[in-house]
Amino acid sequence: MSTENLHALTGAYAVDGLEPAERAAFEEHLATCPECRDEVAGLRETVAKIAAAVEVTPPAGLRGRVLAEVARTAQWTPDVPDAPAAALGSAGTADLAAPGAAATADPAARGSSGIAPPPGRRQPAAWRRWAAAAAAAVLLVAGAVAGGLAVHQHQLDQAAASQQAHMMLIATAPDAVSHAVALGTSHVVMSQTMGAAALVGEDVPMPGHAGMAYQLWMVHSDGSTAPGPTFVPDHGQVLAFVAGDLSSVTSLTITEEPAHGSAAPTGAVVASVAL
Amino acid sequence: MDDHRLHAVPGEQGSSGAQVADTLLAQVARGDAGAFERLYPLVAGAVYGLALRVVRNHALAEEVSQEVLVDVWRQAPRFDRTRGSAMSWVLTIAHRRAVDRVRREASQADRAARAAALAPDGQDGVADQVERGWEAARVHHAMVRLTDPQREAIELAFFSGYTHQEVAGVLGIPLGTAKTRIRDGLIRLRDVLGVER
Repeated sequence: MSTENLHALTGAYAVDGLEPAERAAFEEHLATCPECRDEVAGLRETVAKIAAAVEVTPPAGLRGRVLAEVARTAQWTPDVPDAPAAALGSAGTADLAAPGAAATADPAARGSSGIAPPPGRRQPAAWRRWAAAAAAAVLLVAGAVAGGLAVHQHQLDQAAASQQAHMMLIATAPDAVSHAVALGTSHVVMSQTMGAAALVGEDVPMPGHAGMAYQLWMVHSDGSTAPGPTFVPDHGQVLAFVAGDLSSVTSLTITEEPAHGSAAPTGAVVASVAL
Repeated sequence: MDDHRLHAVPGEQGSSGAQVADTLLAQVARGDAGAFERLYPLVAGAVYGLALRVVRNHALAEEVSQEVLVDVWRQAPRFDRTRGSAMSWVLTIAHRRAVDRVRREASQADRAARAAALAPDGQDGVADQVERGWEAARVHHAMVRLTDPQREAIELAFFSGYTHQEVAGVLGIPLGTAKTRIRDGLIRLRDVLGVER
């Protein structure tokens, strides 16, 4: 199908009016066509407004059932910055151009629609348990050396596995370097060739103000600051990734910001590390 | 009268509600179950309303809504507010789920029959259903600005879950025409509603 024809599908796509094969082809096109992406996003906002105008009070029992199921349902990992599906509209995927507010890949969960739930993910908050992931990484190395990768891997939660794989890729890169960070017991490991850095830490205190989060920033040699991900300690443990060209990054800083993050630092610097 | 007062300042309540939803969803993305409970009343009515419009069956709509709302929790870490509002993100999930369900559950003929059953005398069109508040009034205003063929195509695709091929078949028009009607209609709605993009 020609590009022009594909472009005409934005409307049908926004109302979920494409057959599955067509939908997949169009999503592939979306990944390479910012114009279509913008149009789809706008049309989706439009149909959302139309849909939201027809509110109907849901049955009383629904809330309780939803909250009960939520309580035993694990969340997905944030999307990786280089995921092909990140080009999608508003179906909950990361922005390709974002400097890296993302954890790591989960190919199974990264369906083209961003909607189909991945199978077998029931462990609560597994993606934040970096300690388990790090331990598993050691197992993975041992397993890989022994040729028994699969034996160990199947024991791992899928999300934890992909996170530790991402961490390992950074930490084992030939040019990986590590710097201590004065935030609890933390360090940053980074690799220029991987274009990625991971902040890992434990005994990290909660942000000083309730509802706030830490945010990581990349400070460039020209003094400009690019926003990284926000994170909040989970039982004192933190794990955050940044991705992108780190060659001009001279330091990483951490500030306290509103939970949804800021475009530029607004809080005092709580930790800083020169690279 | 309360209702009148609440909507006396056009758009204001809607936009602040939307911003609250954006903020809450960002908190949900960090695993904040309390934020999810606060988000629930802001989105559940729209999710259920949309599901009901598409699947045309209360029990099924409730089931779909439960799946969608749990999906909102599960997928929240993938929400990117730079790519759209929380409400749009939630309703995108809801619509996809509802459409998938209706396509799986019912043949096209069944869907047409169900649509007819819930729409006696053709009074079930979007322009007749939307009823609350300023935003609903704006949507109504926008819907009546469409041409009849555009409105018909959008209603079949969006609310009845027809693919654009099915829309073409039902209306007896070429596929290209169906595509164009849907897209042009949505673009007009977007422009009338002043959606930023």
